[in-house]
Amino acid sequence: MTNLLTALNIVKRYDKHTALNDVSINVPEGTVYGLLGPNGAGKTSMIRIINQITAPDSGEVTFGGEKLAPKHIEQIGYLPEERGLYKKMKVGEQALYLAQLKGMKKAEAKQKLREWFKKFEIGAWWDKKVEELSKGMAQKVQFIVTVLHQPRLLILDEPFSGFDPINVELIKTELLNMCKQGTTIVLSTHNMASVEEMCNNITLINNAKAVLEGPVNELRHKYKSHIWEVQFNGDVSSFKSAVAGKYDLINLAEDANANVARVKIPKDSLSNDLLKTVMPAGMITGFSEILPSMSEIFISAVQGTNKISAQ
Amino acid sequence: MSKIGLIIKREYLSRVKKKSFIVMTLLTPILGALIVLIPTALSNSKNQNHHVVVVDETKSFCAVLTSTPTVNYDFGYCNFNKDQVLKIFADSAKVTVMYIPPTQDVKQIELHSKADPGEEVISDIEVQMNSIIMSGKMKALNLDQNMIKQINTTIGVLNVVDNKTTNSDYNLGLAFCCSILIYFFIFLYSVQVMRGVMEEKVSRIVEVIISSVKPFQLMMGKVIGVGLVGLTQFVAWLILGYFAFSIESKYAQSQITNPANYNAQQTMKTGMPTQDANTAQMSQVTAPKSAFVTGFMGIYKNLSDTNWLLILPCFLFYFLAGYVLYSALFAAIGSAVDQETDSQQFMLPVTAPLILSYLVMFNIVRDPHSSMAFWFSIFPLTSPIAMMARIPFGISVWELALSMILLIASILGTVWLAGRIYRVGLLMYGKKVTYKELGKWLFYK
Repeated sequence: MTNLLTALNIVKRYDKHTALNDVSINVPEGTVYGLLGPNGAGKTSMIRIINQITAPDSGEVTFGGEKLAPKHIEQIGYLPEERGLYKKMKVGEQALYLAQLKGMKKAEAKQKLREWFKKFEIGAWWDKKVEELSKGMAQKVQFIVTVLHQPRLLILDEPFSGFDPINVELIKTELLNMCKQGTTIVLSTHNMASVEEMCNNITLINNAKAVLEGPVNELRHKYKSHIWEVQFNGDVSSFKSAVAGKYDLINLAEDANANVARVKIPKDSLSNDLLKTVMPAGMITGFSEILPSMSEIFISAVQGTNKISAQ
Repeated sequence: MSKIGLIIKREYLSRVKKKSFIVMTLLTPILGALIVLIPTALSNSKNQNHHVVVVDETKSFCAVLTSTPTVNYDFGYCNFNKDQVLKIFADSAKVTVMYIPPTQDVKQIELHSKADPGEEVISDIEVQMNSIIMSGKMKALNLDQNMIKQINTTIGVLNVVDNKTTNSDYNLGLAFCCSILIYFFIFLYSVQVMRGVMEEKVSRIVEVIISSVKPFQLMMGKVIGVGLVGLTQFVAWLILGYFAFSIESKYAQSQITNPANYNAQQTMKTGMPTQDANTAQMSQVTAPKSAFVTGFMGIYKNLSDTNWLLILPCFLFYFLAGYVLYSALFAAIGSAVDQETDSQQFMLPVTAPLILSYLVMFNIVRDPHSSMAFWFSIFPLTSPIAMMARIPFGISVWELALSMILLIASILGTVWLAGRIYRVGLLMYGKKVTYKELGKWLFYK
């Protein structure tokens, strides 16, 4: 798969503070790419460089194989974390203005806006002033304006904040649809559940450096600690004696319907061996490997690098 | 439409369509006209008649004083005793007792009242008394009225500049008007630019916009858009002002052709003693109005003599150049702060030259060729106002060229500097910005 966007050895300094220190990312076309990291790690600096709001001190960004240039602005849609609208301006008029700034023709923009407003059920608000809108509605307008010109690359900074769960689902569905149709999405968020759900690849930035990168699935397997979850009906003590001496029983929760045990197996051991060992102890109703959540990976990676930098 | 065109259009329309803009545009000339007309009309209206009871121990003023619209002289107690009369009117709030002591040469009279009769009544009495005493003295000295007329002199000055007759008073007025207009235009609309920038920053729409257009385009779009709003308002005022002017000048003309007023004016000017106390009194009342009327008629006469081919282009140039220079600075300030209250510390150094040139302008119009006038009209931050205060009096080409070139050069420099600060400042939140910091922003990549 070709990369739509690559950033190579990006360095960005402000005064005494280094925002990005030799960070590289490769975003394959047609995928969702997660840009993660704690607050102040340098994500927004990276995003602003891609949007050509600021320029890097050194390093190079390419877009679709070409050196990033002003002409690419119209192929990018950007939803910043700190986003607002002109409060006194009418919603439709404002959306039209922002769409035209992205290079859309007025008539085309108007027609598409009408469609999107209908889809998001805010058509009645076209002639209202923004200050009359609820936060969620304003967020919808901002989202529509970001995606309206059908950019090749969408950059979304915390796109789900301020939305209720129903609208989060609505936005997620729209984004995944667009991705299926070939749009590349860079997603910066602290919502790790949505990272697991949506992202194909991630880069984790901490203290201005990329500390972790790769496909989400690979990362979760790479950082797994070989823990398996066994659900069974039967005697708890016989289960305990079955695994005793062979495996580490990390946790066992008793339940009237099904007991749930978490067992750690040695790295080179097979999960089938564990299954064989516990089968006589009861009726197995579930058996699955516990992969670390992105949240756990995030925390351990950030704490790990913080420790190293502290030393 | 180009992106900067779109920005200009939005900045322009969003302001022009506002109700406050329309109201201001219509109301300001009306208010201006009212400010001029109301005092004039008021001074013309019938004054409340003030009752003055005269007690005259000299016996020579009683019959001579004439009641006017302001003062109604009551001679019924002329020969009474002072204390007696005072007792009678002790509790009358609206009555003033005028006491003329028994001297040959009256130097002082007394006014007794419960409430101060006010300046107008007192001046009426003064004028009448002066006039009566003066003509009495002239008679005693055997002086002829005509001789006095001959002695009184007013010298006329024909000011010929560069072979053309000019009117310094008129030039002063023109210089004054031009400078003040530029001053207010710069102030009003530069601050609007700053507010606009802050609005975008505070509402956080700015990051969305500068991901579509360059910050510099946004800044210039705003400066140009707001500038056009100002021009629109200015042109509207010019048109409305023209109507107001023609109405007022008609009014003024009727005042001048009114013989009573004309007499009054003459008396005022020459300081001629006159028997007609009534007229003398009126001259006092109509004094401010008469000056205003003469000024007006002067402008009317001089309008056609003015070198509009020089004045108008220069006015437009300094009007716009001054605005662009200052509004770029104000845009930079707006971008650097989060709240209007924080803007004060940066406003001061920017507004200081503006206010200074406004104050200095009052001296420049009196002495347009002083070295102070020269330096203020060359220095770019003060030249838009200072130079316009000099041009109506005539200016050498090299001075004008130097001033304009320097102004254009500093516009380019300032706009560049402001753009550098603006682009960084827009995305800085929650930071108390210092001058040192602003300096660093200039070098951010």
